[in-house]
Amino acid sequence: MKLLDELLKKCRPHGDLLVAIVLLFSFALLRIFSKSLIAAAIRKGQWIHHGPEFWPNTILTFGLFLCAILVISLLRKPAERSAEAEIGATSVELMRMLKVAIFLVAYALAIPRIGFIPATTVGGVFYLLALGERRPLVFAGLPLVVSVLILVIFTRILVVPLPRGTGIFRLWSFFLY
Amino acid sequence: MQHVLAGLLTVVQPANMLAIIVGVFIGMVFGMVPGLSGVTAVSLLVPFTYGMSPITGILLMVGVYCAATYGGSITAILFNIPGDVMAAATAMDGYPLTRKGEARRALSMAIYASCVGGLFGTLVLATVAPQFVKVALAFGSPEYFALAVLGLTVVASLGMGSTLKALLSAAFGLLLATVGLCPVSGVSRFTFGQVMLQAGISFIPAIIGLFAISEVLSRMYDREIQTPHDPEALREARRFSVPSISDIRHTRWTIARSSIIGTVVGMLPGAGATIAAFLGYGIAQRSSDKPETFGQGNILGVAAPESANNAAVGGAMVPLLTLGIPGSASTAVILAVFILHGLRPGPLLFIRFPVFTYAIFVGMFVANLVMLFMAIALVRYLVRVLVVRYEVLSMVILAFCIVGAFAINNRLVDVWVALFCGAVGFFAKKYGYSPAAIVLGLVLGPIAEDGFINGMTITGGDLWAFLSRPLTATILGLALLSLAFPAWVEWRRRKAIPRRTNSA
Repeated sequence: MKLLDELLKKCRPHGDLLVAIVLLFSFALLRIFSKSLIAAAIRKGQWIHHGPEFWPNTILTFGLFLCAILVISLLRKPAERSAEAEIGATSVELMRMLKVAIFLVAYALAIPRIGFIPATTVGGVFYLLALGERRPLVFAGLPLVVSVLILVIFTRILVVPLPRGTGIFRLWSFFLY
Repeated sequence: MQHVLAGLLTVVQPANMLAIIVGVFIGMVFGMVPGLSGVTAVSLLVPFTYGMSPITGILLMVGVYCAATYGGSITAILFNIPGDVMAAATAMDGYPLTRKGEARRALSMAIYASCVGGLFGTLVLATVAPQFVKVALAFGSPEYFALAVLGLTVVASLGMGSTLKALLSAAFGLLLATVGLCPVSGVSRFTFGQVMLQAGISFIPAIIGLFAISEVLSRMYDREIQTPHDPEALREARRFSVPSISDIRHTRWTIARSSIIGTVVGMLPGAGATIAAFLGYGIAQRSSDKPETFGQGNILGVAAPESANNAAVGGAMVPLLTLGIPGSASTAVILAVFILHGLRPGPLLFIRFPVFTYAIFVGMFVANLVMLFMAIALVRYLVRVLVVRYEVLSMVILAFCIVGAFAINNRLVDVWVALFCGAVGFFAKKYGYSPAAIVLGLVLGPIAEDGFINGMTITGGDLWAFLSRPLTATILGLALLSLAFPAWVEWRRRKAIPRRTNSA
């Protein structure tokens, strides 16, 4: 954890520049490969004035220009960026945020496989336990209440077909909605 | 007048009144809790409007929008933590009043000023919008393109932070809007062979990601995750009351002036309640006899931003209803509700469905009154939400985010869009980019592209012909001015610093 804290401290001043460079490269790559990414089947001279690639290319060129200015301006002001290094999140906050991010990805992956209601109930329990909730009534009860609430509102009132999952989960879901 | 009466009769129907009351309640809670916001509330509520009639759905949204703008002031006054960025200006004098033991006075002034500002903004909306429709009918594709450009430049230039980063955010939003089939030619763009992406990126999942998921991630990354609630301030909030006559008299001109400022600023596409609040506060301070008392607990410092940001709500509805161009993230979501119900805001809405439009005006009027009574009766109980651990609250928010993103089109790809936008929003907030500009880019992108390509077809491919149309030239001129003016002010400021240093 100490190592991570040190790493965070070291990297933080360069974060702004790093984000600007990532943006610059993204805009540049999209601009370079825009022809193949915007249906290659367009015939030359097919469009009278501007084809479907004109608008995205204009935006990409504009974005590229802005990114270049931003990167240059950030490179010229290293002193201002380093002042930020002393404050900000530590490894504790980073791990907490990563837990939430991992939960979200796992939740989105689980929904089509085990269905919405089991994913929310089980996922909710794990989420609260991972974030330090130790009151059984809260970590076990709240996900159940939220699942029932979603079930009633979305399947009964709004008639939205929630994902049912596959296999046994799919069969089981028909008992609920 | 008969439209107003018909609108009133529509609003007083039980289902519509209930929608307003529920909307105001939800808006107040979401506006109050730091880490939630009005935009989060309206985006999470979109799927709930499916089962409602169009007017009931819109009134629910309007209730949320009005109340969320006020809700942020409660925590700003009590704990110096604005529930929403719109209430940041209120904290400057609201919190010092709490420190002086006058939290009750500040809270009652905030709701009174919010209500007056909101009512004024609605009155202006109801008066100006029908007149503006006559002008809007003359708008063609080039004008719509110019308006979209104006919206993006205003949000970039008036945003809180770097203009360059705000412009870059808008460009990113415009780029996201190009994903899917081209609206003019039907050719697929940036779909990477994914059939699901051909429908494009829906902006409700994007908004859920940019504002709700990113907010949870940002809060988790924050050292102070819990709202530090002062028990003494919470006790003060229990004795919530109406403002005194002397305070009402003392603040009347400030509230009137700020309401006008708020309405005008709100009308500008891209500007919004936050800018209105800071402008209202700044002008109140400058025109005060005792400007030095601002920041130390001056009641005018609560009245000015609160009346301005609530008046901006009415103003922001003008471009949405008359032109179909949203000026803020919240109005972009309201536009989505219109589209979901098969309606398109714009001049024709006034001509084809006059009762519907007037019901919105009356609904906003009623929402402000409901907000006043609800605040007086319920704030003492609502503040208890603040003692709930954020980790627990976030579980409920995230579950509704995911189901909300899915329910828009019943597509799992929208859940991934929301998660992607959540990550984008997290980094955007952390490094000073503007999530609001990304949303406006995403919403205004198709309008700008349609306007530009159709305009080029009309003018025979002549770009200069755009400028020969007086309306287009004026709007594009304003867009240029909105970018050039802050740059000029910044240049003057930088020039003045070395001069001052030399003279010292």
